[in-house]
Formats: sequence, C-alpha cells, structure tokens
Amino acid sequence: MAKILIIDDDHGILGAINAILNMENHQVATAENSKYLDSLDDKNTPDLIFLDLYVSGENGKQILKRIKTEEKTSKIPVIMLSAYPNVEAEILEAGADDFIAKPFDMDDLLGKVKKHLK
Amino acid sequence: MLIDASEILKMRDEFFLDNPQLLNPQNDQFRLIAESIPQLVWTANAKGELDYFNERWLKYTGLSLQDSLNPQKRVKIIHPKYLEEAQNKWTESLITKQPYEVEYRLRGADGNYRWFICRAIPIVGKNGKIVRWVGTITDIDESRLNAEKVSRYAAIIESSDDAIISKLLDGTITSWNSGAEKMYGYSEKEAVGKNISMLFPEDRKNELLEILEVLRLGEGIDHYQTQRQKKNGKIIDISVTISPIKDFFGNVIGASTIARDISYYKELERRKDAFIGMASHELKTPLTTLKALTQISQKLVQQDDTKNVKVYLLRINDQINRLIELVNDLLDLSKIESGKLELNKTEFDFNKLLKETIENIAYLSPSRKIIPEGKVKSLIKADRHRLEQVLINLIINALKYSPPNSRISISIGEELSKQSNIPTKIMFKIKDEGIGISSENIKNIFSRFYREAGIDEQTYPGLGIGLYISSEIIRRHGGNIWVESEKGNGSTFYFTLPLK
Repeated sequence: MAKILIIDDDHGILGAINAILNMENHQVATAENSKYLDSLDDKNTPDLIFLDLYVSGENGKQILKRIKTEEKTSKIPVIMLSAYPNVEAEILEAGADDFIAKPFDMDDLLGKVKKHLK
Repeated sequence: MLIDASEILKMRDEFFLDNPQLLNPQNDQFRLIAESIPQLVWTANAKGELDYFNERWLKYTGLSLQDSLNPQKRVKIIHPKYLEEAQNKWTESLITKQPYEVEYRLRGADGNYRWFICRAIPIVGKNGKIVRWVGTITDIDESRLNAEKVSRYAAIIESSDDAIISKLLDGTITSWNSGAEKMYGYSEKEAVGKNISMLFPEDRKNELLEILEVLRLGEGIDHYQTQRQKKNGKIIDISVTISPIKDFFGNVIGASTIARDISYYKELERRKDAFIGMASHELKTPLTTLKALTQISQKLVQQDDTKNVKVYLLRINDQINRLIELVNDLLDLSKIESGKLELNKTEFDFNKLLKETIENIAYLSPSRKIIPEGKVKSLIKADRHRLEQVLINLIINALKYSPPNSRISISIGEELSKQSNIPTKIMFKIKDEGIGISSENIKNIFSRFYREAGIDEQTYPGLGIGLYISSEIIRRHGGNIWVESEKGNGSTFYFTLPLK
C-alpha cells in the first residue's frame, strides 16, 4: 500500500493506470502536468512516480531533473513511460529509475511497481 | 639536324623547278608515288583543268578515266550541298594562286557518301608562273563522324540538368558542366583545377577516399545516395554514379561523375517517415488504455469482482470510438499527404448543414446551447461531407476547450466581391471563452504535429490532427482558415469559402 503519483496528459491512461494500482490497494494521485509537484508536503509526497516523456508541452526529462534535484523528491523512484520508439536508452541515461513502453502489459507494470517500492 | 618547315618548302619548290618532269603524270616516277600513297590523287594543268586521277580515285568513285576528265560528269559525285563551295574555292585558288582546301562529301561507287578533305598546291615554274596543281583527297569520314559525335555528346552534357563532372585520380576537377554550376553554385572557371573534396561535407570526407580506392581498382559506383555541400555551405541530397576513365592501355586516369539532386524525394521520404512515426505514436495512446482496461477487467472477472467492470467496459468503448476517429483522421491525413484528397462537390444550403451539425453534436453537451447568427442566402457548391467534418471539428474543439458554463457563439454570412457587389464567399466564425492558445502555439495550430529531431525539443500540445485536416479541406476548396486567440482569453476561429 503505497502513494503513487502518475503524471501523464492523457485522461484515459491516467484512469487506466489508476485502476490497475487501485486493484493492488495503492493510493493514487493523478496529474496532467508538473504543477502538482509545487504543492507537495509530508502528507502527499509519493513513494513512486510514473512520468510520461511528454506532458502537456513539457519535456518529461526536465520534470525528471526537477524531481531528482529537489530535496523533497530526490529519493523517489521514477518510472518513465512513452509511446515513442527507441527512447529507453536516453531515458535511463537521463536518470530515470526504470522505463515502460506504451502500450504496456499490466503485469509488467505491477512488477516494476513492486520492484521499485522495495 | 632539324630543318625549318619553310626551308623544306623552299627545297621542294627548287626541286620541282629543277625536275618538272616529276610532276608529269606521264612520268613513271610520279605515277609510282601517286599510285602508292593511300589517298586519291589528281593533278591539273596551268589553266586549272584536271588531267590526271590515280587508281584509287577511279576505284573509289567508280568513274572511268574518261568520265573523270569530263567536268560535267565529275561534279556529279560531289554532294550537291558542298559543290558550290568547292567550285568557288577552286576558282579563287586559280586566281590567287593560293593552296586549295575544301571538305566535302564524295559519292563512292557503292552509292554512299563519305567525307573527304581535298587539298591542292600550285607548283611554280621557272618563269614564276604556275605549271601544275597537285591535289590529294583524303578520307576523313571516320574522324568527321567522330567529331560530330563528340559535339553531340558535348551538347548533351552541357544541356543536362544533372551535374556532370570529370576529375583526375587525385581529385582535381577537369570538367564541369552547367548542371554542376547550378547544383553546386561554383562556375566552371571557379571549379576546374580545384579539388573535388571541396564538395564533400566534413562528415563525408572519408567517403572521398573510399571512392578513389574503388576507382583505382577500375570499378565504378552506381546510384549511390549521399550528400554534398554547395558553395554557400548548404547540404544537398544527391544520387551519384561514378565511372572510371581509362586510357588506351586500360589504366585508370580519372573518373566521371553524374550527380542528380534528390532533395525532393528525400523530403518526401522524411515526410512519410514523420507521418508513420506520428501515426504510430497517436495510435498507441488509446491502445494503451484499451489494453490496460481489458487486462484489468479480465483479472476482475477472474476474481469474480465485477463491480467496476461495467464502468471499465464503457470506458473501453469510448476509447474504441476515439480510436476509430483517429484511424479515420489518419487515413484522411495520408490521403492529403499523397495528394489524393478528393472533393465531391454538390450544391447545398449551408444554413441547413450548420443546423444539422449542431443538432447532431448536441448530445455531447446537452446543457450548452449553440444558436448560430446570420444567414447565407446563396447555395454553396462544395464537398458537403468534408465541410461537415470541418464544422464538427471546430465546434467540438470549442466545446472541449471551454468551461461548461461559458458561451460559444457562431456567426455566418456572405462576403460580397468588392467590384460587383455579388456574394462570392461565405464567412464562418466561432468564438469560445475557453483556455485560448498562446502566441507560441498559434503559428503551429494548423500544422501536423510530430516531434521531429531530438527528444529535448519543446512539443506543441496538439489539438490533434483534426485542425490540420480541417485547414487542408478549407484550403483545397480555395478558402482561408485562421484563428485569433490569447492564452486564457478564448479563441475565435474563422474560415471563408468561395460559393462556387
């Protein structure tokens, strides 16, 4: 049972990942852009973040950089997602803890969640 | 000991002065020489009357000696095109006492013409007067035809749009046609003598070494796609064919290159790749949701926990509808890209179309009333289905991007031509009080969106490809579409269409 934040600008995907994580009884927060990170406090700081490579015109790698450099969030594992081909290498190089390609397999996703929550 | 040419001529003149009999066709020694050399030989007397022809002449022309001596019969074997010139020049030589030279075609015994050069020199006697003319007629048919061939080839090379360049094995440019001037920007004068490496961009210098290696082995390269650099630094895509030039012994002494500008085709290729990339990315988004919801539903059904499955199935259906729309949009887009978007024009009432479209969309936002203002009195000739597509796109965007309690206003009207005051266009305007579009994004709003190069570029949040398709439909009708908007302050979309 963890707090998981999903940042993606597609409602359908937010809803779907939300539903998957709810099945495992995680507490899910969804956001269409990085503004959510402005209002983090001890209560709502997530244990894991899903982040899309492009979110509402923002470059996901910039958001990742912000997460990894700000003290409040630097320890949170970030799994990045994308529908673009051949981006895994550059995403991992940018500092993401893991990558999952869209469309993904539900069990794959849950496996990665488990791995990074440990 | 080398003797001066003028010395030889002097010696010749003196010799014949001392030995005039040697110029007499009756003389055996003269005839021996005249019959041995591989040319047609003739002589003329001091008056310019031809009085001797060697065996070779008789054999080639097929004329008897009697006919050869007869001027009327003789002229018949000279090709009519050159006869006048030959006769005029002969008359002139007789007067000026200068050597005679003319090129003409002579008809052989087989009826075919060949090119010859006819030359004659006057032999001056002791009294300073001409005693004889000695003439030779040499077959130049092959070299003449070769010369014509060469000038034909030269014309082809010059007029070719392709860049045709020849170079030495060390890369020194030896020829440069007008096609090369156009392609690379260097004039012939600027290019000849320079090294071909100047055309190679930095990242392709190695390619030059590889090419020279292949050429040294006596081989060529066919239709190789690569890039070169123009005088102004611009990089162009080209396709080259490089062939070795060999000398008589088979040694490679240089190379000729024919290059064609393929920028247009490369651009088409890039657009196609961009389209495929965009399409694949766009399709994967709803598919991600569909797959996830389906897998969730499967698991829940397995666990007999079907409480939420109903909702998920509704969402799955929504996503599928979205996917259908997307696929149709992509197909339209692909038709537009390949220039195949056909317009099926009919005459209809635009007011009716607008009313029906609004009614059909009403179910999406039943709480919002859209009542159009204005009227188009004339019938419009256009593709009704495609125009409906545009209206749906614009109205749905307005609904999507504005808050539920805000106003959407539509107004339509006719535009009159300035000269005749007759209505020529319809005007459509839709205004919403929604989130608006930043000035950054306005310029791209009607373009296809796809992230081109590096992943670090800013993206433009797409209003999907619907707007691009709408703008193409309007433009294909000869109309205009544009938007006025401010971030946070709503947007107003306009389009005009010619009535016919």
